[in-house]
Amino acid sequence: MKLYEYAIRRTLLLVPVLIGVTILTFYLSRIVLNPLGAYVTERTPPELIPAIEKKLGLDKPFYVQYAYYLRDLVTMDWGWSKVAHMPVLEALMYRFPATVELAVTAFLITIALGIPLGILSALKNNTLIDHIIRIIALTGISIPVFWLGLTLQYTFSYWFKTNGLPSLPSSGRVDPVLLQAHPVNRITGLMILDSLIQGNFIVALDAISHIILPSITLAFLDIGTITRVVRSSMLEVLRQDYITTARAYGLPRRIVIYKYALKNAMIPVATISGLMFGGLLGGAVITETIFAFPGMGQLTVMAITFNDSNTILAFTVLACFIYVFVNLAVDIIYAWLDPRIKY
Amino acid sequence: MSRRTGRELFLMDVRYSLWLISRNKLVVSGFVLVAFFIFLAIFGPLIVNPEIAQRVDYPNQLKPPSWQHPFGTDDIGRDLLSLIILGARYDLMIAIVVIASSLLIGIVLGSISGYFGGVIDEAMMRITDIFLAFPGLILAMAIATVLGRSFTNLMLALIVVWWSGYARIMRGQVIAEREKPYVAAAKILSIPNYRIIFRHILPNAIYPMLVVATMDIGGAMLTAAGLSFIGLGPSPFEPEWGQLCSRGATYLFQAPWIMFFPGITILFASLGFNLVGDGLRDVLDPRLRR
Amino acid sequence: MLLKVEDLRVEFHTYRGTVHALNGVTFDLDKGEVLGLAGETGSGKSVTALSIQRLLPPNARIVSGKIIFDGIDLVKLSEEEMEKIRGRRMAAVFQDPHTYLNPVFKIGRQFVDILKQHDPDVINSDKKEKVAREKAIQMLKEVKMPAPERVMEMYPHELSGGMKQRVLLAMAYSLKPDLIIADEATTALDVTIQAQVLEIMKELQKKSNISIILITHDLGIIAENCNRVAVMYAGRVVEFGRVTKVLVDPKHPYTQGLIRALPRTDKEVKPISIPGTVPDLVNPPSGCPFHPRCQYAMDICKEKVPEYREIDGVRVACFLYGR
Repeated sequence: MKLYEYAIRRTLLLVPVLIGVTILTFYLSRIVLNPLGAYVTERTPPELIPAIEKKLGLDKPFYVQYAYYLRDLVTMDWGWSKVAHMPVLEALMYRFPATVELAVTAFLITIALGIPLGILSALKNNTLIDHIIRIIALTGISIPVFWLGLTLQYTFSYWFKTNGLPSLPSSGRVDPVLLQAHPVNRITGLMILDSLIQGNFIVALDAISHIILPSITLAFLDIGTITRVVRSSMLEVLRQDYITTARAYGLPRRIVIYKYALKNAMIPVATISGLMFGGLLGGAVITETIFAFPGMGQLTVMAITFNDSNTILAFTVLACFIYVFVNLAVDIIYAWLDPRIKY
Repeated sequence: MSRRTGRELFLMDVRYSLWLISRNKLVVSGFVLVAFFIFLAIFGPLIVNPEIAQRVDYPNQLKPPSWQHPFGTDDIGRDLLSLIILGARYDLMIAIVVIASSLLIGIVLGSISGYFGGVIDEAMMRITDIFLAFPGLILAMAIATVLGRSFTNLMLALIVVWWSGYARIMRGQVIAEREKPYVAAAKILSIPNYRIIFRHILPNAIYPMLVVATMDIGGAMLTAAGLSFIGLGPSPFEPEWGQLCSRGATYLFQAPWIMFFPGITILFASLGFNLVGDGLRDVLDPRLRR
Repeated sequence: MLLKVEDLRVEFHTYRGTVHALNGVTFDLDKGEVLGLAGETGSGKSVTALSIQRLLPPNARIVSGKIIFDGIDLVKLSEEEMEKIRGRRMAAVFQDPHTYLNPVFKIGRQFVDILKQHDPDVINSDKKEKVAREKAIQMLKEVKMPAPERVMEMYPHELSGGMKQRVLLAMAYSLKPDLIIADEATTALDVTIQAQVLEIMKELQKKSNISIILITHDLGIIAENCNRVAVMYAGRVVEFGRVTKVLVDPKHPYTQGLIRALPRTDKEVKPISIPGTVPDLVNPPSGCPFHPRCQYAMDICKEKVPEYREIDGVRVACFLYGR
């Protein structure tokens, strides 16, 4: 079948999984947790509680409740967010572009650094450079995200500043004073993109300076992972017989490595990039908190502090859906890349 | 591969041998680290008196590293080095318990699913699909939140997240093994199914899982510390490393050591496990065993 | 004289120690000649082939010896210089077609890349891609490939083993090299396909007068296709001469043993295998490597390595023919 037919088929196969996901989150939010939590505080008069229960449909059997839950999800009624003081969906959607901007920047950094490092490490196998890169990669996968973020923050924001060196901002997404002076219209919600489109280079530069530290923090773990994968994949490919054929026909080294070997070596990278994205989503939660970056992750952590389960679980469902679709896209790209996959 | 002089070849020889040794050195240091932290986890409270270490001591607060307090003191005056030593048991315990439990659950369920196939297998695949559809940290976060903030709930949440991965791997291994002749032989001999699975197939299927599991201990430690950092772990008073970093974040600019030392301890602990895992993989790699 | 290999010695460094893969290989090859390189697994046939092309893995090194190809000693060349020779003047067809073609590129792409690299007609034209494609299709026709235009658009996994081998043959011949090394090129194929591929090779060889080194353990193939044969054992050439002489009247005890081990349809004789096993090349036996298995072994065979002697136009390395 053709590629788009394959894409459609895979998407349909996702539906049972997505339903399963909603069942799980439903279970967590309604059954494990007392659903009154978001709506009832200590100050609510006890007489009102039965009425609230009836309104929330808590007197009905579970499968009916689940139906309501599903209906609410689909109709975009995700409840009220205690910490944001607005409907959950609105709160998440407002912060969505910030998280996307952070995740995408981190992903680009990962690819831009991780893949070349992995290739270099493989080509210079067993030399000093290889060992150094391997140690860096190993450190990358052993490092706690929050520690890295905080250390970078301390060093490049505080220590540099107090020692008279040019420093990076320690928090936020953009300097509010600057933004006021040079306003930017919200087109895509991606600050860097929006300001560039509108020719507002001052804000763009400022936004970039704000995103550097958080995105490096986020990216570091994935750089470690991807470097290792690229390295071992490349080494594996270079030992293959078809590389011997290419060399036996006198194809120059550059073509053999970067065309013939690389395309094969990138296949495992495509496979894990979906997984890495999941890691980025999770890591964003911590990173945004440390750098006070106004994304969905920061909101969620605030929700944890204030026990706002609506927000937390809504974010969970949203993150899950995003993750699933990103993985689907990766699978389709992979099927397209590797001609041996039959579809 | 250009022409090499005899001298270059000799040096290549030497470097090759040195590399073999140094490779092992890294693994050896990994083992040393792991052993060190396990020692701390077990004997922590014997080295440092918890009562004294955890005592609030305001006059001593926020002191930078010095001879009396090699890692400084925190915001209520406790010696950070002692806290870190005491905290070892939390982080190591949670990582090892989580991985061991999920490994166990995953192996059992994965073997059954892979061995019997059919409806059981299909059902298991769907279930693991659902669990694996969540980004790990986020599912753990959701579960830990609804269960309530505590150390045990955190462990539970992580086990729920981790088991499905192992179940999948085990299932794959069992499916690969069950077609092999020794399984057919065992069946002919009327050996009961459960014995075939656990005494015949399991030992063969388990090797790749060991490597993954060892490195996952490091990963579980990082995830647990991360969740603890955002408020889902043990109570703020406990000396768990993630907790300490969380406290430290508040005082980052005034007293960076509070966050720095517990964090770097986590780094070394997880590095140790990762080194061991790497080394295990090289040892078990059939190609290198010629 | 196209190729002259003189006393080639090659070592491999492995975890178990140093493997002495080649211990003084000497033979030569004329223009337009088909040379057979015969021997059991582990005799060093493939290592010889790889050494000639300087495609040895990183843990191997050429200790000493000469490989004189058209007057140039290949051992002394740099990698860049070798790249100019490989493909253009020397091509190879390997054993397992399944693993020797890049799975993520179409056949056409791999073929065209080679032509664009080496073929002067392609390099000098304006429409390189087009000219290369036409040439490739032409070559596929020469190896009797059905529907060559379609094959160009296919991936390796869509072709059968025999077809893949033909593609490799076509690629090898397309550059009209002086030498083609066929390393067990037919071993992995069915007997009927094997016969077809050898047929094609024979035809092409006659047409273009290319020299071929045919590496195989199958003496039957050597008998039918080769002019001369070099019999290898434990990294040395033990007997070297015209096929009509060596196979009909073998001089070296090993060659005799090989022939005796063949099943015969013309006589009522049972095949007799050579006792013992191939030597461990990390710790090769002293003196002549064959002496532990040789029925004529003398004391001197254990002590010294025999030199080459010319008997009846054939070169043998054995003390039976003088000291």
